[in-house]
Amino acid sequence: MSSQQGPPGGRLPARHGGRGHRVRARHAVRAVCSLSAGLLLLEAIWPQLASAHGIAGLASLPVPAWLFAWAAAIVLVVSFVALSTLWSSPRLQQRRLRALGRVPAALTPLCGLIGVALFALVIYAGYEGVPYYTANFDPTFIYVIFWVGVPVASVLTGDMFSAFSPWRAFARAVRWASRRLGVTRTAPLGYPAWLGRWPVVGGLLAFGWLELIYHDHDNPVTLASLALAYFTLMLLGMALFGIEAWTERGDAFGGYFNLLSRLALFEVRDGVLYLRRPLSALADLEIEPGTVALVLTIIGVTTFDGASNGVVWNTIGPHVQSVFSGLGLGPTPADELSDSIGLLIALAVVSAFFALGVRGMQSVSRRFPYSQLLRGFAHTLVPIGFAYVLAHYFSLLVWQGQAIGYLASNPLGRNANLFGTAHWHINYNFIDSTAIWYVQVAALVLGHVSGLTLAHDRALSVYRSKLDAVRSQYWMLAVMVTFTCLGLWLLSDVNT
Amino acid sequence: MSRRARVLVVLLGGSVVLALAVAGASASMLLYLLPALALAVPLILRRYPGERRLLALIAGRSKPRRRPGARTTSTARPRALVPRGGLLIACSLAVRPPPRLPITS
Repeated sequence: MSSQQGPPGGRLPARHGGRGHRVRARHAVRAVCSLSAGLLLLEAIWPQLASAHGIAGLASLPVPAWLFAWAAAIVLVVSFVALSTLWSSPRLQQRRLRALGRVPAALTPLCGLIGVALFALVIYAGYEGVPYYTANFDPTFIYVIFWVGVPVASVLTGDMFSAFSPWRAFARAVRWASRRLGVTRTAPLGYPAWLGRWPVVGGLLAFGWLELIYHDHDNPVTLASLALAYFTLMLLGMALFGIEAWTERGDAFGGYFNLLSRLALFEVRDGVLYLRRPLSALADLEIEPGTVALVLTIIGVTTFDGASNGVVWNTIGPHVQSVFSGLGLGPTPADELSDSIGLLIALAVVSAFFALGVRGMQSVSRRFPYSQLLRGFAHTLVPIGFAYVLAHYFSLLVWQGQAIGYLASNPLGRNANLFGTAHWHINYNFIDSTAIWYVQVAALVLGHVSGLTLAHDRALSVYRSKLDAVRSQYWMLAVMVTFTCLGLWLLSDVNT
Repeated sequence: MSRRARVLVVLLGGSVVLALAVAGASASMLLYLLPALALAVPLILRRYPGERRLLALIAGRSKPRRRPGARTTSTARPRALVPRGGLLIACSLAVRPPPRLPITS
């Protein structure tokens, strides 16, 4: 294909040497087929390398796990063709809401009260409970229910965390009480525009580091102390910049859950529950400073979580660790440092894939600068981020999440039975490995098709020429297929 | 993307695959990532496989579709066409005017 641009009407420029093009295309097809055949042969010779690990290894699949990546790629290509031909004008760029009814006024304070009570329980269990992560309420509640369950609930129901957020509820209660006493106070500072969503990025990175890298991450006392510190920081931020401004941008969890809740069909605004068109809330996402980094961080942190348990990092990691050990560091700091480098590499790889896709889009039409395209298509990664989270943590949520049943009755691990559920145990037959694998594949495919849809809709509203729009979406298709294949490989590569 | 940049990207990708292969991922990883590579390589080389057919499909769909069985002739009332432009000049200059225009369009 020549590099010349098509006319604005979108007609393909006439090309010479059609026969040569066909010959080249035939050669390309032959090369891909040869490579596939070679790899299949390699797999036959070297089966232990191609055998799946993790859930895919445990599941009884009718075909090799890698074929799911190929099938997912085919689904994406078919979706791309269907979108290109059937979706001819932008449909998501304008949000359409349909009012469903009023939300009871007492619901928000009630949710806030529940949030504050749960937060108090986390602090109490952390300091007073037994220091074992399986018996204490805190690790399961924070790493499973809060970190995985709330994002899933946000995608299903909307931004429910804003109602349950303990720091927001506490601040709103203080504001309400002070108004009743006749004290009105406005925020002394305006939220700086340059800061954007960077606090959310920093907070997510810090939490990801705590969960995946820090050696003492399961210690309930550590968790309770960090929760208290975060609560204090949030109150300080809200006192300086205002409750709503800080909650949306400064609160790492509030900002993260709010971003994912844009995938939901429901939205509450001014006390009214609305139904909205799927994905339309992402199309009007304000791309403030740090938004691109935020979506890449969500994918990058999950990628490292998968890779850190896989063959590649388990081969490279010890070498990096030995470098730090050689510098005189103890085994724990050396391990944490090497894993920190791994996390940065995962972030860099994910960012490079997206940056490469956007560079490719830029090569289609020079009308748009790189930074504009980067920001303009960043929202397409949000469904992928959620797909990665759901796929990677689904087994954790459905298996370890059951533990909250008995931990709720015995949060301190001291033989209490508050709700009569202390004898419950985790039922691993609730869902088998094969079903989990299928859910993971479905989540990844659906997330990437949603990303492709968002990108296609944005391209239609951005590019004047149909040719440019289609060509730009070839690049987004490549990005989506890469993330799908990477996600499935990471899932199959996990040694569990 | 310039030719130099494309060569750099291909070299970088190759070295990453090689590094991962050395690290122990090899055949398993390549099998998973093959669809992505198959898509990315033509794009880096500025090939957009199937775009002509895709644009033809888009163009085909964007044409107004006629319902099957719908009447092909216009139901509008036929009207006499008045000569305009070049035809008007020709009519005025002609010793014997050209035949009258048909009533139906």
